[in-house]
Amino acid sequence: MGGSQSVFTEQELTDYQELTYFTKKEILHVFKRFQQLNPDAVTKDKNAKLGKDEILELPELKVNPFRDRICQVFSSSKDGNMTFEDFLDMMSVFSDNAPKNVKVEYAFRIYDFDEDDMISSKDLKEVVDKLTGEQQLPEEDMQQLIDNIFEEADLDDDDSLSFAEFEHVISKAPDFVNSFRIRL
Amino acid sequence: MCSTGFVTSMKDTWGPTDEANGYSLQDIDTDRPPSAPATPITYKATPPPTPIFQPEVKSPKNKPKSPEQPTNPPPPPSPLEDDLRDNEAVVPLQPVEEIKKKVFVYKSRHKTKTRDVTHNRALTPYLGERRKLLLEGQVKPTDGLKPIRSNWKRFKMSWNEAMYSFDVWRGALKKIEGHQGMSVVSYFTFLRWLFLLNFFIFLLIFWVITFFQVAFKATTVYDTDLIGSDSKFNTTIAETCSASYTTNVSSDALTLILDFFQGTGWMEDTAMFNGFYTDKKLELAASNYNMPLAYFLVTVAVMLISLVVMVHNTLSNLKNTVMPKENTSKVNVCNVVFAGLDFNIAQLESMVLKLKSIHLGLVSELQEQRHKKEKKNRTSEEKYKVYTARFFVNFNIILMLGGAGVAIYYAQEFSADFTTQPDVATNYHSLVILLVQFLPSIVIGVLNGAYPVIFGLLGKLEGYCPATAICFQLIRMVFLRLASLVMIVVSLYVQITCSRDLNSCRVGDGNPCAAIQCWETYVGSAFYKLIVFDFIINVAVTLGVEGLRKLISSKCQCSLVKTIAQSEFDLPSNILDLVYSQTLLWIGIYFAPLISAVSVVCYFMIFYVKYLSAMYLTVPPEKPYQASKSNSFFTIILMVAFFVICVPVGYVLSNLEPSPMCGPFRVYSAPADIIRVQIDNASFWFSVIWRVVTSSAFVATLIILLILLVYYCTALKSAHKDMMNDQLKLEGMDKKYLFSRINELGGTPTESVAAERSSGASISIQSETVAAVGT
Repeated sequence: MGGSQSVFTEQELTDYQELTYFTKKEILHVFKRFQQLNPDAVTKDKNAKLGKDEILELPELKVNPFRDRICQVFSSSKDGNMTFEDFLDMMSVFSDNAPKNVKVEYAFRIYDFDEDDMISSKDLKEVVDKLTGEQQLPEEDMQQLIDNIFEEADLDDDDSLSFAEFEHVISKAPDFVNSFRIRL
Repeated sequence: MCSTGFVTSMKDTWGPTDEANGYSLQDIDTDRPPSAPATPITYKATPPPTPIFQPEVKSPKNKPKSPEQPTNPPPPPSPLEDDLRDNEAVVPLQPVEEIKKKVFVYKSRHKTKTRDVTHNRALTPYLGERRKLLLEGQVKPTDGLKPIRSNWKRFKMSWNEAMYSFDVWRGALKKIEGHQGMSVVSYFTFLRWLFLLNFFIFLLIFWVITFFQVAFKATTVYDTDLIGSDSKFNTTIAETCSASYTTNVSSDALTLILDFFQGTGWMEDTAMFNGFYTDKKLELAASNYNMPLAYFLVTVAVMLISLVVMVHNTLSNLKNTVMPKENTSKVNVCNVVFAGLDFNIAQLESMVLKLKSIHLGLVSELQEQRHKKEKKNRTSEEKYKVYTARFFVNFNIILMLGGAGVAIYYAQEFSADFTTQPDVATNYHSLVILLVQFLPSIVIGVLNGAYPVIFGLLGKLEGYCPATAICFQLIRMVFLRLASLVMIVVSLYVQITCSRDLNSCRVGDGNPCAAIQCWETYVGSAFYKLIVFDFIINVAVTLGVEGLRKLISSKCQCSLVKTIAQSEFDLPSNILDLVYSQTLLWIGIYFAPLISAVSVVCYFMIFYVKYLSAMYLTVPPEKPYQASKSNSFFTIILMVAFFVICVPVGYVLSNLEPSPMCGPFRVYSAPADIIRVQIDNASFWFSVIWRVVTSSAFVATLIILLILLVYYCTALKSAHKDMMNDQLKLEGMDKKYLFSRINELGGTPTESVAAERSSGASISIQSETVAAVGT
């Protein structure tokens, strides 16, 4: 285990293990993947902050339509650049061991494009646009879709989803835990 | 936290001094706690407890007005202005035209422990900040890694770590997931699970019976352990018939090779089949090993272990698939939008395909909605048309299934009669014999390939919505496979229990009963042939047909041909193939114990063939199967198949007379006799207990108790469901009521009025809040 183990002290590994949903082996594996993104900078300083475009070189993130939002949500400096700790946090939330409610919280933040703690119809429109890729939904279909979603999820009829409503509707979605997952 | 405490704190907190605390009115936000609690923020399984009503809310009073107030431009005049006090800044979060009602937002400017003051929820802080808090001792570790107190949890963790090494093919699975998405990966996970199960079964069988049979000599006498103290078993017949048992071992090389694939000839005399095992004890160094008893127990153990593992697998899958039966269409929309994107995919083309399929799914869902609205307006004439079409289709399908069953039955019968003719080896070329041996498998393979296509075409006539159509298609395919299995079993049964013109060793003379010397070995070789040939066909079709289509679609430039030619990874029929071969294994395990080894080798090779197919030859299916639903559906199919074949296996073990020429049970009138002998020989108390436990009164009582337990659990479940629904409705109603009260009270700010997480405590606090506000 030589090389990467000496980068972290035992205390650091234990702390990370306590704070995330990874074991020590997995944390070192995550560090290895992080290092591959920019070997020079990370070997010099393990707390180096990698730019957003370097982070987005990760194959699992590169093709994801929500990659910008993901980087934005997990970046501690709020500009999309991530240190290793941010990266570890992100992978921990996306791992298999993270419980559903943690994933739901971060999913809510990712889907909340304007960061006002509510998923309004504007946010939903952006989500659906990103989901459909190059083919855009026509306007009436989009409106019908958004109406359907609000009819299903919006309990207090304020035309936006609060976190409680989002959590409630996600609990009825059986695929969520399986799809909201990135394995390194 | 009692309500009086809450009421006091509410009264104390809210008043003219509130602006100093940084509270303002903006938008009604139902989930906002007044402030981040001063208690430690825990990043653990349960979300940070943000009780609505916190006495510690007083702490913000000490803070001066936060200097980081958002310096927004003065808000556009809104209808809210009139209702607010002049000295409060109002910063609407949304443009005015989007505010449809008079709603108030209360926003905290108190600097919470989160990164952004504009966030109202106590959000989980970043890892760096959590680490600082951990060092200060304010954060509790994540749930799974708390110091493990109980021995059970410790055992579970070490068991999980040990099971980690069984996680074979992890890299391959990840590649497939990146390319094909999670629904296809569920097939490979299922395959891997079956592979490990069969490997374990093989180890069990090898070490319990095969090793001993091969390594040690048999004794020569029947002692009381085998035949009991009152010799009611006729051992002389068994001994004479065993002596006259012959197998045709030819010397021709081609025949030898063919015999390997057919399970006849020299194969009959190997440990593969039931007939090889002795019916006496084996001489070990110090004691004797009771082979019949071991054989019987290992068969029962294999069935029990399979059952336990399957139930465990189904239940752990079911936990993640809570399926509300009502309102399925609307649930689907939210499921697709929020949970439909598979984050696992790592390749661009696959992601493009996935996005296209999501788009298609959404469009078809919306179309279906419109279609349903139209359907309500369907005229009665159209209804008659649809109903007659459905009746016609179902009638046709039943006819087809019946025809398939008859075809398989006669194929098996013809094959048996032909190959057991006394001088067949000399009259016909061995390749002809091979073809006839494999006739049942060929018939099954052809039916399995052709029928689903026909079912699909007929299903289009029925006019169901796509989800129901897929469901029907799957059910029909399952029926086809189960029917073919049942027909084979029935045909074999008829041959074996043929009882006319048998000689003293119960061998027929060709007409009307087939001349089968050792029927257990014969049945074993029938199943062996089925498994081998099923595997060969699978590999040939996968590589041949899909390879050909891939070739066509890559060489041909015309896009129409390209789209037609590209083959999708056909998930349901692949999984049904696996279910079919696993069922064959379970039936065959009594007749041919080492069929488990054959199965392990076959699954191993199938994995790599299908890996090739998934990665290079096929594209992800366009209509993605909901992995969650399908996972439990297929394991349930496996369980249904298991229970169906428990019946014939149980019957064979308890009632069918074994052949006197071979096998571990040749002296008995049924294999279960060995157990009766053991029980008779056992101590007095044991036989008393056994008689009580197996008496009908005891079993009837047990059944009644189990029925009561099931009824109780069902009642509990529906009670919980109702309670949950009521709680949620109450929450919504409370919210609405409190909003209206706020409006009535003319803009008096109150604390956040609804629980962020529904929990019993907050509900009760809420209802007390309602009472308090109401007074």
